[in-house]
Amino acid sequence: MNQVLVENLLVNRAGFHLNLERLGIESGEVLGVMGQSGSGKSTLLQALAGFVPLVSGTIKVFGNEISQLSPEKRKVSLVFQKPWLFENQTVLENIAFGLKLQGLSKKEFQKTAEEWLRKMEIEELKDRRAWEISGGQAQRVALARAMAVHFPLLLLDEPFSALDSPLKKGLRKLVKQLVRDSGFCSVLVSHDWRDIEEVCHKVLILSEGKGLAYGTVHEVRQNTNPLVRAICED
Amino acid sequence: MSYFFLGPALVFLGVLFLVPMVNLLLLGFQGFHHSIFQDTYLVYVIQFTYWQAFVSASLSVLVGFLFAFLIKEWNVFGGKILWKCGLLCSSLPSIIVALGILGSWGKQTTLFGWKGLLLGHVFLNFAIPLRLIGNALSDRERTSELTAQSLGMSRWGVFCNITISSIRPSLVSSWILAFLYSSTSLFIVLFLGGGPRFTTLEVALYEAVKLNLDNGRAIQIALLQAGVGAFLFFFYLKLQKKTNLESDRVDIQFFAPRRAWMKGLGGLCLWGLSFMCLGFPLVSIFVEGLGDWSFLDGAELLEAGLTTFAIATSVVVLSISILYPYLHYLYQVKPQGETSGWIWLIAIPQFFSSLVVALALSVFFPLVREVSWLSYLAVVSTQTLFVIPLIQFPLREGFLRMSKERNWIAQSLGASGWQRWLWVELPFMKRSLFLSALIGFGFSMGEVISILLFSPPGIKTLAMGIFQAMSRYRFQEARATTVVLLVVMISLFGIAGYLEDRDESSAR
Repeated sequence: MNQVLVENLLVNRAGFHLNLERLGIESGEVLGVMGQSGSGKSTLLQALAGFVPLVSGTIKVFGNEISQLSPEKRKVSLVFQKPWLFENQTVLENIAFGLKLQGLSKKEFQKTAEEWLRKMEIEELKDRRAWEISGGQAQRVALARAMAVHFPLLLLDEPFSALDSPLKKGLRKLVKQLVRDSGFCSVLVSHDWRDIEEVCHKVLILSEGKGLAYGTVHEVRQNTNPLVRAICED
Repeated sequence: MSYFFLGPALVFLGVLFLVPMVNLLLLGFQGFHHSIFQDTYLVYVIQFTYWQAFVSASLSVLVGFLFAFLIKEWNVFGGKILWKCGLLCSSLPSIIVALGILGSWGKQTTLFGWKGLLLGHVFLNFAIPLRLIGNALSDRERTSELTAQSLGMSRWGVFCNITISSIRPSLVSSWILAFLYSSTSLFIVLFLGGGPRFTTLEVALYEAVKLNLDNGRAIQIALLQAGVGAFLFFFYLKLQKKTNLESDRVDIQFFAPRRAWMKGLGGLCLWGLSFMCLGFPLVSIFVEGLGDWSFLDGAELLEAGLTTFAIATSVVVLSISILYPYLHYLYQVKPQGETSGWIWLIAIPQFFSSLVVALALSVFFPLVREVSWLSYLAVVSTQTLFVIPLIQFPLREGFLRMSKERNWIAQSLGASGWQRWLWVELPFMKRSLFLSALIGFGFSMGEVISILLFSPPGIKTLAMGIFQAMSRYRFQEARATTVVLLVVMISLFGIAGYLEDRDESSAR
């Protein structure tokens, strides 16, 4: 059963139209989104997160219609290509940021944040400031910060693209495992077919704001449309 | 929502700058041709103003380019110190520069006249090309230079054909700004011009307003100044649109000297020139000013210091509370799109002389020259109009570093608008806010023109004290007060420079 269901989505952003009939993501599943630059990938994520208003359509997350809610009330967390850590805070404080906002006591949010530090294998960085850690470590902190709040929908906007190959490989595996174990639904935007192959269950190929292909990774791989093939093989 | 953030700045700019300026222009147009161009002395003054501004700007660009090239490309010893000293020179009040030159080179009577003007204007303005050209040299795309050289072009050929064209926008921009500031400078001309043969429109405007009390003539001169300012503003704006190119940086000092002794000689020349033209006037103020300490009246100095502090604090608080929400909206709230138009809107006042802006305000609101508290308000407002364009740079850099994505992440994690501002944005912007406050303080402390024009009864700031002492030929008192002002300004500038360095290293 689809826990995230997007239907008849229409977004108008400075003359650019994103138009999608139907998308569904099951619990513990990652939907990959690919497409050329300007095809609407980031607009889709921003529309799901509430930063771009919808012209029409519905977004249901675990049965709740969220398209009319403001971003802070949607319970949709985000990770970008750059970690964008809160630089005045320590690694632990960064991870605990969303937990504090949920009204958890100091003991509770510290315990949860420390659990995520362990899961991400960055316990030793706990008291370091954002500028004192490497890019790969910072991206782990960003992932932990987004996942620790345990929101039902996790949006990942090219989170691996700035990392080197060994780091990428490790993080892909970790993200897939964490999403599966926690039962989140997730959307991963990427330019790299290997990200999609290794992390995602389904793929949406976008072109000029419209869905060009949608299905399981295997189905889309077999698609004969030359543009889909070009995007997958790029 | 947007009105809440943009409103204060737009109302402030509209009521205190745009409307008074339009009013001034409309008044000035009445009988403009008859009076201005029939007065042969004024025609001579117009010609001299723009001739000296042309020469001053060209010389400033030449000196600034030399400094920028040797510091950035040759990496001469002490380059960083010279870079900072250059910036200190441009932030000094022109009255201090005039006093410094008078106390050093001014002892030779041949200095007065065009030589004095050029020296003063180059001292004050060479840091504009130094900074703009220096940054353009650092950020330029060097792969085409390497490609051209690998194809057999000489270094001189590469410099003339590729490097110069890639930094041309910064050369022209800095020339325009130097021209503008040289054509509207008051104190350099007043104290170093040496008489009616070497006077400029700004001095004529000052005389019309303060000495002859001839508002009609003043308005017409202001109209001419404003016209030139507006023309240069649009030209400058057009130029900026062409310079927004991003390139991949290759960190190679392409024009580094091939022999070590050349680099040493370059450094020596630069340090020599700096000391002769910049260091000597400043050192002379300190040396002579410290000896003149007994000429100061302690109580008067304290009062002037407190007034200066009060005005500067008001200016800083007002400018930040107007500009911060404005930039917050543009960089954190506004949907993606063009922001440069909005930025240029608040930067317009810097293209006009403060005397013209102050005159426009006093003509539109005549009560500001009669009611004491309104005079103070007018002084603070006029200074704020000029501080806003200056502090927009550190604040914009802060917002750009903060980035919209960081705000989005906090929002997606459930933080409300106030929580995001308090927990994410404010700690991030702390340093930019502090830097802006220092810049605003520095500017306000050295500003004299608005105080001179609105003349709130009994008001005396440190800079005003220097002006009054110089006007009465009490140079010992002027020098001693300058030492106090200089110490404060150099301290402020030192802290600002340190913060800038920290910003650069954290950005890396």
